[in-house]
Amino acid sequence: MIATATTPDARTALLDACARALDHPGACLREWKQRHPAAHVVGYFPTYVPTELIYACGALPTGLWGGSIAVSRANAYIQQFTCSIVRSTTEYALHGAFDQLDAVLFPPICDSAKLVASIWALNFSERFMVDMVTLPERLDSDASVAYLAAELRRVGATLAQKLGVTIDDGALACAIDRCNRLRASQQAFCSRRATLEATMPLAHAAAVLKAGTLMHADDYLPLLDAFLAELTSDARSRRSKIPVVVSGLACQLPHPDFLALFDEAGFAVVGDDLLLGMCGGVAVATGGDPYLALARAFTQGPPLATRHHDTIHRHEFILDQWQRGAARGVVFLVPKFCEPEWFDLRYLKAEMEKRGIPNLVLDFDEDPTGFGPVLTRLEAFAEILM
Amino acid sequence: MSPKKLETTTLTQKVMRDYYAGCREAKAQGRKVAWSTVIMPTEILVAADVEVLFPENHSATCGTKGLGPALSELAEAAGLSQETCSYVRCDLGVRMGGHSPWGGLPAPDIVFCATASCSTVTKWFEDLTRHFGCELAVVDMPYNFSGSITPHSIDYIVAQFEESIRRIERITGRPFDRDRFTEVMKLSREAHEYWRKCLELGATKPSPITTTDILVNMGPIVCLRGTQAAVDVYRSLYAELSERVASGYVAAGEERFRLFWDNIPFWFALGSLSRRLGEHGAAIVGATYLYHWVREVDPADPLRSMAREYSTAVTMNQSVAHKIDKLCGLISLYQADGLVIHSNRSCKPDALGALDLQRAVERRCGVPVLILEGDHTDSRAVSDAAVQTRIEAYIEALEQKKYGHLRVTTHEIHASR
Ligand code: SF4
Ligand code: SF4
Repeated sequence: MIATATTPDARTALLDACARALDHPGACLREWKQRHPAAHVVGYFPTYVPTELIYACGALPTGLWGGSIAVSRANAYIQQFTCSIVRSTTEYALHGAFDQLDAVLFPPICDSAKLVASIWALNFSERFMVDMVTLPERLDSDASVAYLAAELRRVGATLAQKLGVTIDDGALACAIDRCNRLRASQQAFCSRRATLEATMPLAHAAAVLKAGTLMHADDYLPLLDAFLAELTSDARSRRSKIPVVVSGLACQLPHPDFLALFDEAGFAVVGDDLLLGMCGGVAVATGGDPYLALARAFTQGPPLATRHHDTIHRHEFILDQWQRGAARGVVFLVPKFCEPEWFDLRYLKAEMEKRGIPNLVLDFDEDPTGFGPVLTRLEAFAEILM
Repeated sequence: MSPKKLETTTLTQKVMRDYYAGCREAKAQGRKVAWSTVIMPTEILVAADVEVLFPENHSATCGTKGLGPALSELAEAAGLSQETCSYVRCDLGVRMGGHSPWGGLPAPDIVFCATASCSTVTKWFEDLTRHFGCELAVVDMPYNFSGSITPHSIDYIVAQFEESIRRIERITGRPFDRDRFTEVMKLSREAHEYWRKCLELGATKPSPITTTDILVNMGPIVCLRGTQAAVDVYRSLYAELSERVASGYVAAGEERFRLFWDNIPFWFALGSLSRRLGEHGAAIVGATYLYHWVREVDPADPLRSMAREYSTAVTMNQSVAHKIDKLCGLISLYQADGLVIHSNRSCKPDALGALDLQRAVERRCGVPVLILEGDHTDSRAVSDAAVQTRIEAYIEALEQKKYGHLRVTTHEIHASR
């Protein structure tokens, strides 16, 4: 019997709001615009786009997550050997789903994302502004910080001009503070995963974090903080479950029904680097040059498949999660056609095997069906770990 | 007229043989050997007297010998997904003991990776450092989303060049010789200039050189920029092409259709593809790929000029809009009747945008565009029958467009008997 670790009210309020944000993004956006008629909405392709810049323009940042849409029109723009999120977001864009947006920002997370940004600029610029926050690929050089600070200034100025506003340092400091609080609460949420498992399986935890990329922080944070305030430790919760670490890439998450299979197969996810892109990273320093502070914080973030660091390596992060959570295995979730993640997988698997850590690789796309074999494989893995 | 052998090819082959022998000798003598991506400003390494080898070039050569599938299978057995670039799979296949026409490459002491071609190379070169236990220097060249390079991007790249120079000084134990660097840059500029002039002559109608012949002579501009040998090769090629143009020499036989090629070639089918097209009087007269090496470097401002040129010359680091403009310009320069785009599943940075490119070129240049699905080295991903069918349909479209009717070829008359 699993104990309930919060009052149903805070939990239900949080989950209901998140479910609504995820299931009806268009309607939520319209409502938000009704409540804030003068404000703008800026979409961003997941992930690593500093939303501070968007908040500093007085706009609502909203993540463009793709989803389970049948891709047909996008086939005239993007070949089928690309990952599903770049194809599904393009399909949504072609259906006009993002026409309410004033601008869209892309990060150059991988070759596909760079090119898709460019394809959007070519085809959708009349609907909304398309720009790229050209993040550095290296996180291990002082030169990256100076470069990124200048790039953030450029993007901030371009965006502000497009939206007819100005970004002053006060507005940016305020946005940094808001995003710092958001990040801190989301990280507290993640670090209490062991307790959370009692009431909130991986699929729901992912939904909570993902909704944080769609809702305005001022609407979202009170709900999350209320939930965290009432969360009590419950050591019993995990006993009957098998602790595992899940590794993946934040820019594409499996379908909620796929994530729900972890719970069904009897796993407790005690650590991950899957949701990192949505809440990882250090607090941005306040007080000095805000652009430099944002840039520095980005380069100090956790290791990512799509960024290079000479001395900080991703397998060490996963091993750390594994140790802290006393996990028994690691599950790698790899998006189909995602080159960076397929490259990392080979090395990460080798590092796990070197240490005798059992691991399972599952590939996925956004297709909402056909999860039967996935459950079978998870159950077989659970048996090995028991 | 039977095709004349290009005399420069003999010189190129000798230069390349000497270069590989030199690298092996350097390794044997304990001198430092680096591996690098092909879009890295290796002039810096040449000036530091470090021998440089290029795994992409090695993989392409494996591809021309038809080794792609066998090497890929070895790489896949070693855990690398088939969804990754097949250049990487060829390289890993050789590192796993597969056959290489060159017997593999001498192990590196350091690897250099510039991201202008793609982000895939970073993952590839990270794997090389794990494999060889050597240092990795990444030179990040941010994507030029707006079509032109930003001043902060240039500053960033230059700062990384300086970092690389300090690394090289540490590895070689010698101070970097700036005077020698200026000399190397002068040679690099000269080789680049001759290369550009050769391509300009190559654009003449009718073509004085086949694209296959240009590809065969590309080695020095890819591997030996900053050396006298590269200057010698392209000076010779330029002289030979000038003569050919002056005498009206025609390299590709009948040119009923002059076609331009986009993306990396099908390395394993260079000859068969041009024969197939040749049966219909079609010839590939130029390729975007050749223009990745058209740059204007400035010995008076070496680091900044290389930052700008290396970052922007390749279409992979440029916006699709920029690529469209570039291709439209080249199609008009070559007076091409059509464009063939290789939708290369192994090179997403060059393949994505193909559908927009097709639409834009058809609209702006008024020439038919063919998209061929393929892979530059892994021939398992290419359907020969599909390629044949698409080429035949395309030739019909070209016939209609250019001559307003369909031509029955001798080949078809024989086939229908
Ligand atoms: S899932 Fe992979 S390929 Fe797709 S956008 Fe993300 S990093 Fe790029
Ligand atoms: S992805 Fe393309 S540019 Fe990158 S290494 Fe492969 S072939 Fe070269």
